Amino acid sequence: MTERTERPRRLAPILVSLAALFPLLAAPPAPAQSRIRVAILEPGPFDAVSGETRVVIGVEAAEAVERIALFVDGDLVTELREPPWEVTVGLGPENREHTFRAVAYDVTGARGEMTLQTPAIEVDEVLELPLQQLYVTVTRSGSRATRLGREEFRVVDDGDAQELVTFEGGDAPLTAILLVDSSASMQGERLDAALRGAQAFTAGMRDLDEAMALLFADRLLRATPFTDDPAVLRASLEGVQAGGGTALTDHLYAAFKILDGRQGRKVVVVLSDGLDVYSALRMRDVLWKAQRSQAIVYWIQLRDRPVVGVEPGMYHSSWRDAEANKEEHETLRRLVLESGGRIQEIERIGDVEGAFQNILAELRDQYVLGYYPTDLRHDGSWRQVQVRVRGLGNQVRVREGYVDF
Amino acid sequence: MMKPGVSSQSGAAGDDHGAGRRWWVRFRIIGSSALLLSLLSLAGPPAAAQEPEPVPESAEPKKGSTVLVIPPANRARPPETEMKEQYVLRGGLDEGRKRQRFDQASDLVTGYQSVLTLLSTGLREDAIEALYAFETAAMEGRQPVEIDRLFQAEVEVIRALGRRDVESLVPVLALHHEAYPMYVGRGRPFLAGHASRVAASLADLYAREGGTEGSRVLGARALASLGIFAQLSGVKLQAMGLMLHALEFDPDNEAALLGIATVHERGANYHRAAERLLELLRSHPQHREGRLRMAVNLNRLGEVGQARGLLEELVSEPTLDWVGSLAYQELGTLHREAGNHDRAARVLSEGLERFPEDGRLRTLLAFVLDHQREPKRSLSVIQDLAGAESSATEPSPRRLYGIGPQEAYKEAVAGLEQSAAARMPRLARLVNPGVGDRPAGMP
Repeated sequence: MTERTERPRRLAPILVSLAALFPLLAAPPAPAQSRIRVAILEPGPFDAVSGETRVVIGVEAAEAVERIALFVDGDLVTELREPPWEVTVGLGPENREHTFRAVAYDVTGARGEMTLQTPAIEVDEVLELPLQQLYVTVTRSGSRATRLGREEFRVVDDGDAQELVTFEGGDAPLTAILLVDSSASMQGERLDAALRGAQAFTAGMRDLDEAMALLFADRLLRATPFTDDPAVLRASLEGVQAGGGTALTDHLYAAFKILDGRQGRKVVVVLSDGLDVYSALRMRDVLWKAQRSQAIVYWIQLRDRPVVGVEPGMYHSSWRDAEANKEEHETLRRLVLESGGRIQEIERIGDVEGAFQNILAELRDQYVLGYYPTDLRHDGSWRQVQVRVRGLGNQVRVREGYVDF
Repeated sequence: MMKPGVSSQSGAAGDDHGAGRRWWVRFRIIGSSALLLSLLSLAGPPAAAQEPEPVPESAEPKKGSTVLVIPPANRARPPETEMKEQYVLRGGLDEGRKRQRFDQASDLVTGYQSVLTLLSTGLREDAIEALYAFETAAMEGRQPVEIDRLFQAEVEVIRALGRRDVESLVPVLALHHEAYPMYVGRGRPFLAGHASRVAASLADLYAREGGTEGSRVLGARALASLGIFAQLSGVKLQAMGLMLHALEFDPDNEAALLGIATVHERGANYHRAAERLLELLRSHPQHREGRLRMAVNLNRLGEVGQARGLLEELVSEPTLDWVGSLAYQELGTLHREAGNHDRAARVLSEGLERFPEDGRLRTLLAFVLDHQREPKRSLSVIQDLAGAESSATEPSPRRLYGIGPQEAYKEAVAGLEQSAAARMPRLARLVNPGVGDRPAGMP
């Protein structure tokens, strides 16, 4: 073998190696992803989140960070363009998993990202515990019985005996709406007497009690703020004039609705002859509302100007005939009694103030019983409630039941 | 007829038109015929009957696209004719020429003529007060049944004027037309009834004797507006009589048709109400209040689809008035009662955007939202109730509906006043001799 033939054999492995390296040498430079590191610092991987949630993003980058895009559950929710890299997002009330993805870009266009998944709260069992509160008035031989103890009461809900979890006397704070008919028939001394009654009610309230007066005709004439100060009530009612027709039903619904947003023992005191002409709702609509409310309704029924020969409620109007008006009247009576309240008929307008004071006194003497009803079905059915008091001769007045919804 | 034990929830009840009404009139000769003759001779020859200013003819009513059908009545309906009052003086200008000596009546005639003389000077407010003073003095210490003698004295003067110039009766009609609410406002029910009776008699006379389409329409307008005022005052039988009387002269009189429908509605005679409203809408198909009342009554009669169609028409129109607000309320209620709470909420929300001060719309929407288990939205709607209504000064739409056709009344009164003013010179020529065409006190 000569020297010339041996040289090609020694170069071959070198050339093969170079050929293998060629694709790598010719390849474009690797992307600079590794120049940006992104981390989602909040929430953490084990945090079950919902509602308003703070998201905090950490980023390390060789170049200046231009922006960070935040995706939640696949949707772009925001782009942050300067530190601090944090934002509060609304996730809704639902208990569920969420996916957070943060993508950071630097000024060269390089990007880095991180994805984080948060868990849902693991629920072993759902328990709904609506506390039913009953406001109970007990009388014996015509007088209110005020010294009864918890052990003397028994509550039966839909036929089942219930265990009392709370028991209070009449000091439980009350939130009252005084609904005063201020239509044309109340002009002059009648309205004055009504307002004196409302002020007398307020004057007898205690700390944490509050009352609001709604003066209505065929529209709302005046609404005072909630207050326990008769002077505030008086000032708010300054200058009000009675006039117009009567929309009692609509304003009674409004009273229930306003009480929805308040705490405390809820009471509505209605001062009216009960003759509604101009309401858009029917009293059966308000009964529906009353059955879902825990408010007690008292009705000071004005009978000082009865229409001779006409049964209460028996009249035609443009909006309802006599039968329908009579039904409205009877449904109002039913609503009051079902709520655990009562109807006080007034035959002299001067008795209004006393009627208001009487009602307040009764509220002071009430017992407030709380229990968690067993065997709720949430089917919209009516559940009858009975309260029994140990001993003979006790008359008990309490709401007749409630809707299981 | 109203059932025993049932009353109508309305204003002051009429209590002065009971058994004392008379169904025919006896004419008595006025003792001071000489005075009357001298008055007439000074007035000069009777003026030629002048065509009153033309009643504006509306354009051919646009026919509505909806054909309304009232279902057959399922129970006996009270006949309207039995409710018609016949107390109004009937008969023409030539009646009453037979004379009967009655000394005291001469004072009444003189006194009444003085009132008309004052009226002819254009001092209308003074004339009203003068009429009040005259008529109250005439009835001072007298039994209510003796009001007929006052009526006869005034009628004789009226007839005499009318024989000379029928157009001169229009300002006198306007005077007594205005006196009716004046007496009601002053708590004088007997004289209020008298004023209504004289005004109605004048309207009847003018409509019959005027001899033109315009005089019939004007007479009908006066009768209808008297009827509406009676209905607003709670005197339903009288109201019905007057409005039916108006229709004799102008069967398309919208005030009368609307007023009669309202009386029926307040008496829970919904079928009758719908019949009259159908007549109204045939000649006035775009009448907003008429369509609203028709919708309400059709719904009561079970014609929910037709009612909904009318209400949807009304809410689609741009007019912002109490009719529109009520249409939203009723349409929302229709949907709610049919169980379509979503649609009810949409309709009521739209209505509340257009009528934010309407508390009833607000209450209805809050209730629907409550039903839809949106208690927070429901609460926020109600919490604005005080703010929305506290600044309102007008009666609520539901109350305006219940009160009755006040707009028709106001239009009729305005039209009558305009017609009276135009004819005042003619009255002046008769009662103010020597003043000429421009009686003293007139601008």
